[in-house]
Amino acid sequence: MSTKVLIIEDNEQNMYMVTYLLESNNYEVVQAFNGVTGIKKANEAPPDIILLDIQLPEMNGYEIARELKKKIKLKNTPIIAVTSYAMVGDKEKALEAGAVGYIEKPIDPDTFIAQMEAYLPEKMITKKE
Amino acid sequence: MLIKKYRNMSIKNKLVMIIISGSAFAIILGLTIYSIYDVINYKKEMLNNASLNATLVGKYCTAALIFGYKDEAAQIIKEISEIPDVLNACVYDKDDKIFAYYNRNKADETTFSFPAGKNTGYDGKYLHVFKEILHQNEKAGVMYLRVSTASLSEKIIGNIIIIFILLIALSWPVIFVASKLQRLISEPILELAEITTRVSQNQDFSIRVATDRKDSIGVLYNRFNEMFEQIDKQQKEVDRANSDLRSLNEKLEERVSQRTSELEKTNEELMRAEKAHKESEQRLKDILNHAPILVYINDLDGRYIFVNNEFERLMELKYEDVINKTDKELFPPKRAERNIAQNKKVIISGQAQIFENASEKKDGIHYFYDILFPIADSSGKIYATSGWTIDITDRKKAEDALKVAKEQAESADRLKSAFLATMSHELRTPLNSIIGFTGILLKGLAGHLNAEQIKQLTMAKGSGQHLLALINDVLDISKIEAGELVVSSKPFEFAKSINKVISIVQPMADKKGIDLRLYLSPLISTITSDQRRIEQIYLNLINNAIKFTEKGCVEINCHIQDDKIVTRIKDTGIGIAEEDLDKLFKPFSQVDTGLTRNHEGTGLGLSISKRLLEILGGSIAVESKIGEGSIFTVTLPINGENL
Amino acid sequence: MKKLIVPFFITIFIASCPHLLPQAANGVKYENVMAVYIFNFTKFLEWKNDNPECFYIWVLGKSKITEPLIKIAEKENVNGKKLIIEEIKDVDKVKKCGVLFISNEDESILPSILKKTMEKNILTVSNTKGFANKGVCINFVLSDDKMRFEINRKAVEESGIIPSTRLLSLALKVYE
Repeated sequence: MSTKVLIIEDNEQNMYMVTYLLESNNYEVVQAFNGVTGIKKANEAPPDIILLDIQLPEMNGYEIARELKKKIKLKNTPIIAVTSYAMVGDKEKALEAGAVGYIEKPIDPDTFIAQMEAYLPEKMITKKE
Repeated sequence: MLIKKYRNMSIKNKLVMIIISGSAFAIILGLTIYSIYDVINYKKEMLNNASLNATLVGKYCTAALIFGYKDEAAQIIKEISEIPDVLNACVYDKDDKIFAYYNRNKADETTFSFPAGKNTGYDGKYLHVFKEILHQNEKAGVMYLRVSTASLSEKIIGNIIIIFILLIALSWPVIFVASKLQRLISEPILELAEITTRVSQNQDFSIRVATDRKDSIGVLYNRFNEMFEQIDKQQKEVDRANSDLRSLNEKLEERVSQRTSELEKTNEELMRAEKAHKESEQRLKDILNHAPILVYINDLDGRYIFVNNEFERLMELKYEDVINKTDKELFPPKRAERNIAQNKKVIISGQAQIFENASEKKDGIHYFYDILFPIADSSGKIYATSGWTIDITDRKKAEDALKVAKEQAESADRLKSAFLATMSHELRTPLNSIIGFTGILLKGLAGHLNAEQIKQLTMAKGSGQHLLALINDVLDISKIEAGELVVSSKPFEFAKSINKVISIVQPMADKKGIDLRLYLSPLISTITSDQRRIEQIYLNLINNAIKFTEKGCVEINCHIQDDKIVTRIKDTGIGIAEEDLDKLFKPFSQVDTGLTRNHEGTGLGLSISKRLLEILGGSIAVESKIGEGSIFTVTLPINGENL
Repeated sequence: MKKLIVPFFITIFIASCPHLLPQAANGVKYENVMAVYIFNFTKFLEWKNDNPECFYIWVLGKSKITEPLIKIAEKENVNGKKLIIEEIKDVDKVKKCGVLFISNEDESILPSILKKTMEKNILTVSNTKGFANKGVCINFVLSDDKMRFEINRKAVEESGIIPSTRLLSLALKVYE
């Protein structure tokens, strides 16, 4: 059973890129292009980790994080905030909202996976070919 | 009369008299008592003697009595003539009948009869003695003697005479002694009298009487001394008081004259003040009348007691028509009410109030400040209100314009912030794809790549990365210039950051064959600052050092100095010309912007680093010589809490 | 003054009659007087050796003095002792301590009487002229019609009797 990653991201290209990266690394990816969908999908089938883009157009990324955290099923699911570091304080706000960590945009394909895996327990880290 | 005389007698005479009287009295009393005693004794003795004689003689007569020999008895009795004072003697037989008798005086033969009574005793002139003649305890008869008390009388008289003589005789010595002794008393008293006379005459109370006597006189003296002392003291005090009084008086007079002159001065001043006051009032009026603002004064009932020319002009009213009239009488009701309310507020609050009002004028709405304030008298009681009305229409217009401009500026600012925020997001998003996808491809995740593909993809990724760096720098510099850059302040391990930076640049250094050396002082541990920005700065500097060095080494030396971490980045590169040093930190001045641009870079790095360091509380400095390399010195506060 | 008049005259009367009292009548009356006097003598004499029981007055020979003596003895006592009068004929009959009246006028018998009386401490009294000189203790004499007596002091003392000076001074004559 491969580790499920929920990505909440509005930009299609970004979504494609991250999905490609993750699947290449044997992760199962669930996509959500807005916060509402994200929360719904997360609730239906709780992922092992959630990657949440903070700069979502409709809903405030922090709010989404808080909403996710409210769900009992997702209580222990790590939420990683993906921020572009536009504002200082994003980091803190993300952590405050319930994210366990953050990954900076633009995504560095070389380090992205490792960055994410840092927040996964050992058993959930997939084996790469 | 006598008493008066006695009173006026001198002490000496009084004393002498007293002593003499006392002595005389004592003498008389003593002698009298003695003589009485003496007389009594004498009488007793006389009686005893007579009794004895009677007894004896009687005894002698006993036989004669018993044998009845009257003659013999008479003979025996005759012996009684030997006993002086016995005038008559008689022997009675046992039946109390006269047996035999004797009369000293022949006259008695006829005149005297022997008594029958049996009482022995005195009866004035004579002493009668009756003595029973006993023989063998049987009454043989009675012996009677009549004794003359003449001797007694003589004795008494003699005693009296002696007393008198003694009295008279003794009085001389007594007087003598008395007059000598009285001195003991009278002398000190007289002395005292004399002294007090002297004291009283001369009013000199410093005199003291000397004595070492302990008796009443001594006490008297001491008391007198005390008294004199007291008087003296009091006198001195009185004198002092008097002199005080005098000086006080003088002072008082002085003060009075002072006060008078002061009063005169005050009067003059008052008059001057009055004049000045009048002048100042006039001046005030003049000033107010020339003021370009409305000035008015109302009393507590709302009546105008002063308005200035401007008031007249603007209100189009004449002074005489305004004075003593209320707002209600002068202005439309709404306006009047407003004025009254304003005045009331001022009076109640006791403080100046500013009201903003507007009124319709021919050329549009005008805005005013009504500045009202209470006028109080010297005791603080408010007796009038005064007001200024200032036309602030122009100012208001200006204010409004300013407000607009401010809003515009603010919105511009907001726009700028939004722009920066948006831009950073919007600009970076496409780059995400470029760098990301090229990265994925280069990783071979989408399939095997040939060398040419790798080469070209690498170039594309590189460009993308370069563009990202540019964008980041531009955004940074914009934020910094806009004052939008915010730095965080958290503690982190300095060594960790430095090593991270070094690991990033190591590949480049290795590629160029440049030796990268790091000396970290072991005293360096935690630093409180913005970790990201510091890594950015160091990355920029060390990158530069490697970039501009062809061969040799780059040394990074970090040590602690006071409360700062000082980092020296020394390279053996091309160095910087002296004339280029000052524009080093200016934006877009990569030194050597000539055609031979063989060094990449945005040209913003150093200026961003410098600004960042300034924001973080640190500083940067450079030393360099052309051809000899450069030394960049970065100073960072260890404790950058207050950024 | 009136009170004095009567006693005064009485006094004068009495004073001018010095004989009256002791001698009421002549003759017989001498014996009375003598008896009284003898009794009175006892008041002025002191017997050295006293008879405690009674006091005797012996009358030697018959005498008129006995009767008045007895009369006196009925009323009086001598020194508290009973007075006893005895007429005796013989002088031997006298006991110790007393008085002997010698009525005899015979002077020849006197020495023998006296010898006995002196032994027995008897006071001898007589009424005969010259007897005092002869050794009788006391002898009555008449002088100027007054009863007087003579005392032989030696005889008295040799009789063991002490005479009072008073008595001695009263005596008309004192024989030593």
